[in-house]
Amino acid sequence: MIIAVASGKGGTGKTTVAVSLALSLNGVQFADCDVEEPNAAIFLQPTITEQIPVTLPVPEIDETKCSGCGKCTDLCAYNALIVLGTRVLVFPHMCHGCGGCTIICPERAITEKPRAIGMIEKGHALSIAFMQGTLNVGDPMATPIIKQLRKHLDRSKIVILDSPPGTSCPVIETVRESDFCILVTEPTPFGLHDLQLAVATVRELHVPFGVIINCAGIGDDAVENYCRRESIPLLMKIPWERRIAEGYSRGEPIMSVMPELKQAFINLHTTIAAASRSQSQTALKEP
Amino acid sequence: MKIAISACGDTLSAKTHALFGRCDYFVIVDTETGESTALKNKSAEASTGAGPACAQELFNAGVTTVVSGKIGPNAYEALKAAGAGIFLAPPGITVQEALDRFKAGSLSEMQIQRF
Ligand code: SF4
Ligand code: SF4
Repeated sequence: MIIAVASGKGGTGKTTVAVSLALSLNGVQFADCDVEEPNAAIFLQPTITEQIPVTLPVPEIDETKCSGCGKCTDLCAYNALIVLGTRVLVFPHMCHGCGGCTIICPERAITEKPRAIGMIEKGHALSIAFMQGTLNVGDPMATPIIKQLRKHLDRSKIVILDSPPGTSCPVIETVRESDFCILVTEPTPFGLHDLQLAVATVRELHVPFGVIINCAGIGDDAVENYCRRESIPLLMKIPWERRIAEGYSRGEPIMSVMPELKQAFINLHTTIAAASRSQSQTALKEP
Repeated sequence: MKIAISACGDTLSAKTHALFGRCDYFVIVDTETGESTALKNKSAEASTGAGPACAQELFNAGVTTVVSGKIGPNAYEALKAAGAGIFLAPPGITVQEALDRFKAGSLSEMQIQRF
């Protein structure tokens, strides 16, 4: 079962929830998909045993063969290359590595050269099989790294994906094809606004989902009322407590600060397993 | 010489558009014949690479000078590679005014600082 933990905005406690869930269950696989800023390792302290570079095949043009026909630039959906006479200018950072231009070039003037965009690291933390993807700083190609991470998922286990925040392509790549998505939010007007965007995205992907309110006690009831109105399961409320924040600032998972939460996270998993089954059944029944 | 001005409409009286890759039209003026044509910007809604795609279109149309309000780094690189001159126009003026100022030599040429 694949459980994605996401949130409409950063800083809501998404990683806290993902890490806590992983630490409460036995023998799960954990993948940090927030490739622009992976930080679950701070809390899980994994031992890394394997590093796999991720590259994209970017075109390189042999200008002595190029006829300037323009077929490559017409094909490229990302405008990653332009043809100026018989000179082809490639914008490597915009190339998604689809390989289309290489195939279409009638002069066989294009070869592919790997461009490093980041890496995947694998290891373990206690009983957790740990993975994280890291995008090179400043590189825009987050989604291909997540695509690579997905290839290493072990579907025989409970898999927990720590999604990037927001609702952009990398989030969709993480959440799609998950069995359940936990949306973490704060009970504030901003939290509600971003939650609504996240809900729209997850609904579009037809992934069953529920909400966890972090820092319950601050803010207002608007998020709870919204969930009730929309019949969205409210899975858990994590109280705001000073000792949690202090632990967080020291890189300690919530679990070591509040061991009593462990049972709550075990129950959370049971709820999710049941909700995933019934929500996907309802989805099937819908016309 | 053909000069392209990023614009909000397809005539000389249209306002100039502040953005190169995301403008609605390019008004192209042939300074020798005085003839003007408009090219609709097909890439205005492109998710990526609107700048280079516009540079490609203008290169194909034989344009050698570009006037716009703001030109991104990718578009700049593409235009430079195409050998085009790049000039900056202030916002709010019409295409005709931009053209007159260009002819009078009062538009500044864009230089990018490389870090
Ligand atoms: S590989 Fe695909 S994305 Fe990259 S330049 Fe070629 S066609 Fe464009
Ligand atoms: S398709 Fe090949 S020959 Fe045609 S312009 Fe591109 S690189 Fe040159």
